[in-house]
Amino acid sequence: MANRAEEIMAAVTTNLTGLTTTGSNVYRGRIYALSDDELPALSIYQGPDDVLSELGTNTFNYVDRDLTVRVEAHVKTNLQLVDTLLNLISREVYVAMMADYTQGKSYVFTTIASGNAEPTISSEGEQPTAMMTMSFIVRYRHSYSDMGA
Amino acid sequence: MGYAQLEARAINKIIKNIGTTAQFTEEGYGHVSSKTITVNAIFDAQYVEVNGIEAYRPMIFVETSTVMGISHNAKVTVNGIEYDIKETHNDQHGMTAFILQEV
Repeated sequence: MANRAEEIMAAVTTNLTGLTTTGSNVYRGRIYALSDDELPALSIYQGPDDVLSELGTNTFNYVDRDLTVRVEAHVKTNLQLVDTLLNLISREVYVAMMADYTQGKSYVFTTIASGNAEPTISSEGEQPTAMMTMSFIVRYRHSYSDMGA
Repeated sequence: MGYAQLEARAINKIIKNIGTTAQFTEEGYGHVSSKTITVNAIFDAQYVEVNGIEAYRPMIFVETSTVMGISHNAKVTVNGIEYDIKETHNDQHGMTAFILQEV
């Protein structure tokens, strides 16, 4: 039984694979630069996994947490405005994340969009490039004694 | 011979010996026209990582006197690839660097 945060990250990666614009160019925890063949792309990163109450538990039966999932969209194009392409991807990601706000997990209560960062746009490459981070909070529950149950 | 002339001669020799040719077309003209000029140039394409993406930064160095009238949004073809000129850096010592973007 895996850590539930791990299961959620894997589920989000699956749910964001195959979108119209980014297709199979979806990478979890990507740390190396993307090549042209891998664009446009989504990189998915795990953020904080905060417990909800001050003491880290609501009862002695379970713990509720907010797991932040960070989705980065990367584009390189001279065929259209890069932020126009980012906005297209942003909508597709949002729809995919909210299509099933439990991410297919019985222990997930909801998924909350927590906003998009300002796109970073650059002219340093042979074509314009841009990146935008979209953040989501996934609220879930695990047992008091085991993060995987 | 003054220093400036020596410098110009040296630059000319370097570009001719290690450079390539670049075909410039002024803004607003089709790429092959009477407004096209071919000059010797040094092409550079340094690797950069930007926004998590592999890229290269294309630029060419030419003698300023050979590209008078060429400015932003003119086009240039180097090694068979066509670029727009996005920035012009004149060093005031006889050389100009053009920052390029693929068309």
